[in-house]
Amino acid sequence: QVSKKISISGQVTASEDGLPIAGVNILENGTNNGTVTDFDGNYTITVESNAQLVVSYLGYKTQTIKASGSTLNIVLEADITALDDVVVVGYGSQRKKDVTGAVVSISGDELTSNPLPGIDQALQGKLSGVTIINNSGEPGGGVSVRIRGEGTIGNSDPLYVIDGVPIVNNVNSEIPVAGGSGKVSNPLANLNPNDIESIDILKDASSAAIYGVRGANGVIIITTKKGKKGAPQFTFDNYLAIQNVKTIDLLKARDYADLIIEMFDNAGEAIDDVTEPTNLLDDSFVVDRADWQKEFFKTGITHNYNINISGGNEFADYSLSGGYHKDNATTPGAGFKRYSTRLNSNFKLGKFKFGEAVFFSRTVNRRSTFQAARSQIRIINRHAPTVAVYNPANEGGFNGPGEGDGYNRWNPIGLAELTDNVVRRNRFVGNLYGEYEIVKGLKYRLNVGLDAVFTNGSTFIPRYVFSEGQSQEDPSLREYSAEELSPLIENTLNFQKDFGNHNLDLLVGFTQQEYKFSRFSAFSNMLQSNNLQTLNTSSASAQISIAGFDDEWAIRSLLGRVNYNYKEKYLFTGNIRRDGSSRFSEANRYGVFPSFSVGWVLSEEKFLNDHKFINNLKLRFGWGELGNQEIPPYGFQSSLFTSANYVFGGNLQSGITQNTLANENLKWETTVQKNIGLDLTLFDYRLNMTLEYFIKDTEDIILRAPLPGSIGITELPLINAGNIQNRGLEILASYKGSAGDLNYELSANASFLKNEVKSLGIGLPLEGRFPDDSGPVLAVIREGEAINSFFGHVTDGIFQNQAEVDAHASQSGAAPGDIRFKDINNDNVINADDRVILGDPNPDITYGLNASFDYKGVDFSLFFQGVEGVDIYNGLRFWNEGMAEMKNHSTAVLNRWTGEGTSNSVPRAILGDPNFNRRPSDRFLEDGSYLRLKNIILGYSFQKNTLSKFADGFIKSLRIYASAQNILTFTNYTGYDPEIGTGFNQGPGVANQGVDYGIVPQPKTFLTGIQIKF
Amino acid sequence: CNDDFLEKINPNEITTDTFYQTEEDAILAVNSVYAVLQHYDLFKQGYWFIYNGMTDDVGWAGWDGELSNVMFNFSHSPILARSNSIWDALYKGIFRANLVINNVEKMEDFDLKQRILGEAHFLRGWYYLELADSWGGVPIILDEIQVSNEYNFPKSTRQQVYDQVEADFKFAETNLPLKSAYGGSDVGRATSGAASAYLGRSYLYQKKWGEAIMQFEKVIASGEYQLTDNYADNFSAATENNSESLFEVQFSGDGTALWSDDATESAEHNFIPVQYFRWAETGPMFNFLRNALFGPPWAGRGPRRAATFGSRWDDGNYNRIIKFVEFNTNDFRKSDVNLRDMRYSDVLLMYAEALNENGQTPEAITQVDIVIDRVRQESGLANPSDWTDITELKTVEQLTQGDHSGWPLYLTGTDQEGIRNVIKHQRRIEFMYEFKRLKDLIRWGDAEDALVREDDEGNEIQLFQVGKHELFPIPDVEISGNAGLTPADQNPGY
Repeated sequence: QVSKKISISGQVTASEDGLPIAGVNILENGTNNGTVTDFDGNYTITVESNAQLVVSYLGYKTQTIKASGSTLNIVLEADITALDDVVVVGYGSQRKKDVTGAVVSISGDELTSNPLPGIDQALQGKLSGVTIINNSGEPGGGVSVRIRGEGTIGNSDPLYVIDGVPIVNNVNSEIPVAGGSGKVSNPLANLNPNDIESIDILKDASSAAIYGVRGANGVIIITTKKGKKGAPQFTFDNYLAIQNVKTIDLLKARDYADLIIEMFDNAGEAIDDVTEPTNLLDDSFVVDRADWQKEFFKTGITHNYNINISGGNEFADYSLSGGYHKDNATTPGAGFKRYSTRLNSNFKLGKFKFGEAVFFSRTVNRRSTFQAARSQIRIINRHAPTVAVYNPANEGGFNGPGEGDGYNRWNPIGLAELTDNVVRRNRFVGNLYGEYEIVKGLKYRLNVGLDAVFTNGSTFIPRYVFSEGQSQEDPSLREYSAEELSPLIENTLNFQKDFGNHNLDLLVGFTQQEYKFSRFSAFSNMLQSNNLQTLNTSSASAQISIAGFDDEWAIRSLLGRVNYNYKEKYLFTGNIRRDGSSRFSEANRYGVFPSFSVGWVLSEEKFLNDHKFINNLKLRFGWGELGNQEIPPYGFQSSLFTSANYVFGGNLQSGITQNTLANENLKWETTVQKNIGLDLTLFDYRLNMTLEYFIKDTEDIILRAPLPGSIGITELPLINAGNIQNRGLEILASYKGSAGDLNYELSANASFLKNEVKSLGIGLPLEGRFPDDSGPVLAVIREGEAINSFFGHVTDGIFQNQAEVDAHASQSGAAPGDIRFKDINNDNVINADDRVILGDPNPDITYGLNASFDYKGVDFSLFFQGVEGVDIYNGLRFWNEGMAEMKNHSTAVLNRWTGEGTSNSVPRAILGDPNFNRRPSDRFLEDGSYLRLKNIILGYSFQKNTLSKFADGFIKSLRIYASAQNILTFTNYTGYDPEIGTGFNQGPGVANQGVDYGIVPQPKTFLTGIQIKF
Repeated sequence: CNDDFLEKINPNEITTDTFYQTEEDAILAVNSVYAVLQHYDLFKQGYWFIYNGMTDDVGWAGWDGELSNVMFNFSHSPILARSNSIWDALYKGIFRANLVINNVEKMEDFDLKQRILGEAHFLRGWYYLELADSWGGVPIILDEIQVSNEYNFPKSTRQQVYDQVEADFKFAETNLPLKSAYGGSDVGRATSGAASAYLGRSYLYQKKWGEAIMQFEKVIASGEYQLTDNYADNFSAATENNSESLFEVQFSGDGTALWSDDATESAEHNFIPVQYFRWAETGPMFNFLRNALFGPPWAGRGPRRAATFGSRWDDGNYNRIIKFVEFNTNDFRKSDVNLRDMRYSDVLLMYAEALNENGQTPEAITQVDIVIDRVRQESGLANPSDWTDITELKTVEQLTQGDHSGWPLYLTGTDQEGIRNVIKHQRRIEFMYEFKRLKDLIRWGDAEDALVREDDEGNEIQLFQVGKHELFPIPDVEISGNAGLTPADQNPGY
């Protein structure tokens, strides 16, 4: 036989970016003769003439090409089937096609093509069953992430796992600002989105059960980028963004003066007191001196730089990156900076594998202090337009109200600008692993991780003067420093083997994690100078107070998992985890959490084989039990309250008492979840659909249930009480298509959710009050209703005359021009018994729509995100339309009632509001549904042949892009922003969900950037 | 596998296991029972709005949240009432007192053991007295409470609550030291004399005149107390815990910390409802309160008016409520002046009232005269020739009509009814804004006449309803959450 050998060489490149691919296998078909492409994607192979070359590389379609000529360049196409994609499921990974639980994933590419400052923003609206709402538009501000609804009354936050390390979710090292909102920290703020390879979210019990007591609210697994085989590759990203926000129309000086004068008139009072706005009677004073909103909201500018170097070979790979992000915010006194660096590398030596993933970041977050961000807006709205913001004659340069201005609000812009409130946080999250293959298929892995958070913060208030009676006589300084250390040790043993048609994957593990927190703080009320901001400069007569606080918890667990499938057709996953937690007394310390799920791949069955358009059809069912331990660390222990102080002999003396009742019987909160799912892939893998239906019951909810007052305790004890159910439907669909050079992808997701409180402790509802703790009830957690439902009176127009007042049920304080409230129980008197459930802040539907196109290097995408069926209590209107206090109001009050027939919706202006027109009612309750064009991006990637003309082809790829965020919002909501997150807790357990106190709105952002690879 | 790894002890707080060991522990424990007096819903703020705000000593109290608003309108209900949080606060005091009594009793003997138990009983008596006065029959809880799935505390009768109050004050009376026995750093603690006086007050409220008389005589005979020369000394910080003081709620502070509305009871500052001072500045009783009640202009209207109304800052308006108020420049909403809850003049006037009701009217006049004589002395009207020409005791109605000739200093017309009116009048002006008026009106049966308001058209609105408003409602949450109570236990009319 005559054989004729030919030598062929060429380069293998990727179709999507034209970049060379290293490590591609090229095999002469039917032989052992093969080669691998080098760092530059080049290869040379000698084969028989007319031989077939099989070119394969993970993640790309395998091609078989006839060998011909001496130069053969090969272009590989990405494999879009996605079914072979790997999903990280906790202590391992699975092919997507084998997954039987409810897991959604997003790739890092999707996150970085659409640059956003944080991962939370990037995830928003992208995934079904995951609701992400920003609690504030301030950079670094808190975020509420909910997987399948508000599962519990306590902490509904999911667990975050970064490269295998469960991180401390609620970083509590911060000292909240006095009177400020509670949760403002964001566990994701330290992460650079550019570092993310993928995010996988375990939604149902059967998938999250491997995280046992920490998985009840779902698990978000973040995997950072690993190096790929090939020559070092440099990536550089940079963008610049400009932000600004919406404003609300407020009264100008003349309208403001008229309103206040009318308020006094209607109350039958004269403006004649020094505490009253006598100036407003003098027309020469009624002049616009400040547009407080305009002075308050600035244009924010954001810079972001990111650089990454990665590469590797068959023995080692690495990825190293650094990032810098700076956002100087749209409001005074706020700002955010992040410096981040990350290193991932993996080494292989025979049967050993080692590696690490570490990141270090530092964030510097400047926050407004004055009663925190949400009410700062409210104060801005209420300031008199007749009072100037600045006064150069004052120390500090700001102005305050004077005699005759009629109010004593402190200048919020001055407070924000002068006060220096900074939180600096250094966070290290890292893990180190070693893996040894004992026999083929049996691997032992040791994973050691550490989450370390070092926070220090300071609040410096300089000496300043706003006006007489409004001044800071001495500079004051609070400094604090805290560390949180959470070491982790995990031992796992994994066995993987295929026995003919039986494929088995077993995992057993032992893990433990600890958390230690300590904080020290010091405060001095008198520094010597405005310029020396250290505690060392305290005056001799300063009062210095110091405080310290420690916290600890620990968890130790055994876990096991079995994955089994028969012919990849019948799938089974079983999990069991036994957790011990220090948060419970010895008797209730351990909990066992089992789960299982099954899958049936119908498309593998004969009866569907003929339907070629069906690529995959899988039916899944899962059941599982999960625990929740997110309660204060020493919740079951009896402890003493040591600040029950009293004055004797003119001096404060300590007092100690029992604060709450100990509850040794406190046990895990348990979530039982059932999930049924369907995965469908059609038309040559172009159309992908996933449907899920779930029922999630949270039982034995740990909460501080209200007790009758005669118990006499200051803090309600933690008890297991109550049951909440969430059930819902989730849909995810995407279609990838092309027409000529045009490629496009359309995708949509939607989650339908229903929440119901099934039972609650001894039956007393939990109540949340507005506008503060002593105000009336606005929200309740009550049996039979959705969690945090709004509660109050129902309005019924306005009394036009005295006859109407007299004809109506007795309503205390009512006069013509006041709001008529409905007599719900028909007892002819309007009182607390006439209140009803008015609505609820849990959205019925959350959805996202995405469309992306690329054509010859031009890429364009649109992303919409929205919610439907959600109520917002527009608390800002309580003040802006209250017409009871000597403050400025919004232009909505120009339509107020001034006589019969003038208005049937806006009541009269009257000082003191004797009818309490502002009481919780449907008056300020608004439909919070919205559809928002979250993102629009236009980009251009330079063609390879263009790039090759520059610098010897040094630049391998170059993309420039521009995007705009939040530019279009369709909503009927009248406040700043319908994106209202969960606020701070007021009553025991009732979150201020959906209550708008005047949140810093999401800015409109215009952004331009560049991404370069070398 | 039990192991130390999962055994974490709270490093921040002392646990109950290690407490109640030493005398120092016992002192710290009893201090916490006093701390409740400063609670936001008691003397720090709530009492201002309820026990002063609901009376005819103020006009319209303005909006302090719906919870107080409904009380000013007398439209409060078991669901919605500021009195609900007062109820809660009073039981907080009882919970803490019970902890001290039950735990300290078990401790081995130490020097201050009886005193500390006496203090705890005194305070428990005080808290229950407040409940008995304002709610009538309530659950009596004397044991420590354990966490449970059901709480079952049935309602006792008002008489049983007063019996408990008497038992507590009697224990306190015998176990507490005299006021003069306390050293500097203990000034402000409950005394035997205070226990006697409060016991007398509880007898008086029950119309047990003879027993009340005995108690007040005990206080007088102790020689521990006397009226201050200047009436105003009872309302300023510099003269706290003076010779006239039997029991006062102690406050301190330099006024620099920002006032916060937190509901803790460890506040050092007394809240001044300054925004609501228009209370007394408007409304139909404006002229009456200031221009008639305290006497005719030629008398300078006396030191009591001067100590009750005055100028805030230097604003030139002398019609502000200034009792217990010392304005500071940093934050005018708070004051560190102690609130006097039991003054010697109260003992004397209660004594006079008991005597008068007991048929000893001449003896009653003597006691009232002691109180009034301080005013005469301080006014420079000590000479009887300055005032004996006023021969008539004018009615309140005549006073409101602008006839000031009958300044009610004069004490002829000495029948029991006449003296009863004098005592009532004296109590009103002596203790204005001292949290006593509402209870006085109710126990005298005068609330229906006094607690009315005129609306914008001049129509009279009856606020107080007889048969209902003598008591506050039992909180709705108490009835639905306490298995020992049923809706039938609610006070009448609610």
